[in-house]
Amino acid sequence: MSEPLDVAQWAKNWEAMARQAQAALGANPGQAPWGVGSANAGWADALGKANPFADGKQQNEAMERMLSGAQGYLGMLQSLAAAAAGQSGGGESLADAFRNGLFPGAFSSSTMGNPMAAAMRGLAGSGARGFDQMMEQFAAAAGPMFDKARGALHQPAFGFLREKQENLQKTAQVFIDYQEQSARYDRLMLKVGEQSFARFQLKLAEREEPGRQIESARALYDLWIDAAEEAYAEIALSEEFREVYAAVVDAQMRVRQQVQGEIERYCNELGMPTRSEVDSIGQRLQALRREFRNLHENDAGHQALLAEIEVLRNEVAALKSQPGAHAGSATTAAPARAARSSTPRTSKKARQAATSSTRGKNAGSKADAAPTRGVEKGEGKGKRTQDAQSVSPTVAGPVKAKPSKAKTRRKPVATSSAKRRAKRSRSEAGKSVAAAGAAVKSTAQGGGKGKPKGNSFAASIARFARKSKTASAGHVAQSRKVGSGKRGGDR
Amino acid sequence: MGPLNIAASELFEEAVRFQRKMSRGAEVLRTLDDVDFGITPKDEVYREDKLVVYRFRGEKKPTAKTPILIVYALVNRPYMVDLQADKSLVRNLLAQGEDVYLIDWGYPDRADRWLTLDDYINGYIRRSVDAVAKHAGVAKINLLGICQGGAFSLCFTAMHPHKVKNLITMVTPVDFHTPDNMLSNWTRNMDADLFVDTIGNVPADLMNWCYLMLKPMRLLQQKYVGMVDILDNKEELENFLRMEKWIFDSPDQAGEAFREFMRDFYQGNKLVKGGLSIGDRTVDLGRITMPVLNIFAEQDHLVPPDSSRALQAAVGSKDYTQIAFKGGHIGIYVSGRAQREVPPAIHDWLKARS
Repeated sequence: MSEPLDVAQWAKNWEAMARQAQAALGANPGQAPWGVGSANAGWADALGKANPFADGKQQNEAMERMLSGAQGYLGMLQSLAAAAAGQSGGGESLADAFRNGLFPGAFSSSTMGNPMAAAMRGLAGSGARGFDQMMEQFAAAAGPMFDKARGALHQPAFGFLREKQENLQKTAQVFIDYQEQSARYDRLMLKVGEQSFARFQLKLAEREEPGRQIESARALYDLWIDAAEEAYAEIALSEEFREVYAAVVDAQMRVRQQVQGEIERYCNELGMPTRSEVDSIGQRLQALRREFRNLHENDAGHQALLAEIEVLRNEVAALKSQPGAHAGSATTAAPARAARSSTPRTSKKARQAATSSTRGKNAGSKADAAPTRGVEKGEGKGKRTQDAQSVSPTVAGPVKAKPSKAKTRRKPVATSSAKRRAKRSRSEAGKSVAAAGAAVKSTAQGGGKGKPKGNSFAASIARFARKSKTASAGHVAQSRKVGSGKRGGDR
Repeated sequence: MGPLNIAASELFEEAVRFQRKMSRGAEVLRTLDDVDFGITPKDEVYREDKLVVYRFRGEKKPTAKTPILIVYALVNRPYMVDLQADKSLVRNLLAQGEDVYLIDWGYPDRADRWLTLDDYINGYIRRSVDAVAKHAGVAKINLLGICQGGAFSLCFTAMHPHKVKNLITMVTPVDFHTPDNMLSNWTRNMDADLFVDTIGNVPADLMNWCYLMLKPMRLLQQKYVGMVDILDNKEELENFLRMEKWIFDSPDQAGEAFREFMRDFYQGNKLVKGGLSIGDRTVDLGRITMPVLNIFAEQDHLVPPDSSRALQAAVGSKDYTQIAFKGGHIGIYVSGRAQREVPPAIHDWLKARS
């Protein structure tokens, strides 16, 4: 991002300085005290070979950077040479030259210009290339026009081309905003330049004491760098800089975004893929990759758990096989207790699932899943739970709620009485399921003495079985079979 | 008497010397080969996307039982820690008997635009740590985070403390709002969303330019005037060019991760203020209770010393050590003093906690 190297200009500068040296030292014009003329051609030739178009990219880049960076130093040397030549001719002294601010060329535009603009100039990306040229063209052609017609930018758009007009207005506005913010930044950089000189003068004043004087051009140059850096740091750390910097970056981003949007609109019209589309695909791809990675890792964790369970099982088996393992072995007794205690909890979950399903939430899924868990965890009791529901699907919890819902649906304009009926119906359904659950629990725990009472689920089943002449024998038989183990408590 | 005491003849002599150096330097530059870097042999132990974890091979077997994993910043290439034979943190740590691994992030491209800090820290770093632990046959490892990689290491350790035995941070920003933090001042009011939504991945050139603009006169001018002084010394010139190569060999920054880092670290300063979340995890530096060694540079213009010093009050560890190195952000790896002081300090500290 440095300024382009102009080797020829460098050579000319040195030529000029050499002539000044000759004049100052009174050398024979035919001689070249430090490489002027024919000798100068040697190093100029060397620089020429090291230009960006010669071979050896890395070395050329290094040379280019070096020359670009050293421009300030060269400028200072030239200023000093001019002052020295004047001195020898009876003109002002070097010190006077500095006091009078005679320091041309020391501060190149590459460092005292707008660094943000220079940075942005090199930005890669869609809508970024040629940004600088784009801004220049805009400033030259559209700038004056927009300046005169600034008010028109806020006029409302209408008609068939409303969208386009709005986009054009917005584009012009963001360009103008950027120019304004960039100008603010430039003014701040100018302030840095002024303060650098002020600090430099102070530092020079400090060196007027004997013993502290500057005795080489290089020392003077270093002092200048110190002054410039101090001035720059003071401003770059200020709140004003913070605000201006953010404003110029944001303004440029808005220009870029606007230009990108325009390009996308044209691409869309031509049926060409756009950056937004590619980004969208990239975003989805990354989300998928993340999800896949998580699944993969979870699966790996699952496999690790299975492996750990297998190890534990083997350990338990080994412990069981030890002599006296059954005689009051706490290790083996504990899992057994745990297994016993876990079963009723499972049944409770099943009831809860059934209850919630009557409220219309995830109907079926939980109720279906719960008995299955019951079967897995406690064979006999879970089986009863499942069978109790399968006795009559029309009465079972998840389905029980349907009539009331259907009733409500049949009357879209529900009256208050209809709502009350629906509510009562849902309430009764809930109660019956809860009671059924209690009955099942009672059965599961070996209870269920006597005849079920009230409107419990089990009682409903019983009533249904008694009243229904057409009830299949299989159903009744199955129902009895379910209860046979424990005195038919579920009836 | 004025401030200048330069005789005209001395002035022209100085100019002649400068000109002659440049002439000879132009010739020397033409004879130089491309500089190399990363001299210590290494083996790949883990790879994922563009990330590679390497294990360095020393001249002798490591004596340390717990390996060190170096987590470098995303904004530069990690070979700064192994630049050349006489400027290598890695080589010197190996010589001390440490077992050294390193994460090389690679160069993100457009495909990595959507990588988040969660992907980097809870994803890449976590899996790299696991891979190193598995490779070394240990449950916990030592983590050495550098600069932005240090901030990442702090986040990682706070979220996964059971995976880290000892934590070392070098030139790591912790408090992003110290008054001397220029980068923070510049980014504080910027619209991070507008910035990333517009340019996507943040180009390396833009990052480099921002770093140069921290000290524009020194880094764009004075440094190259100084280069003329060494133009006729091939070895010094190669060292200079090697450093130049590293400085400008920068990866682009994944857009989403940059957005989060800018918003939560530079703007929100959440690492010390609290409220930082990476993915669905909360980052609480108080959970860092293992031993912590914090090394910072006293003349660091990128990460001011006070920014690093803030770690002491933020971590929950009772075993906290702090070393102030006399040098800059880069000098802490490549200066002669750094070679003498930093690796032994790290080794001794770890040895006392092995």
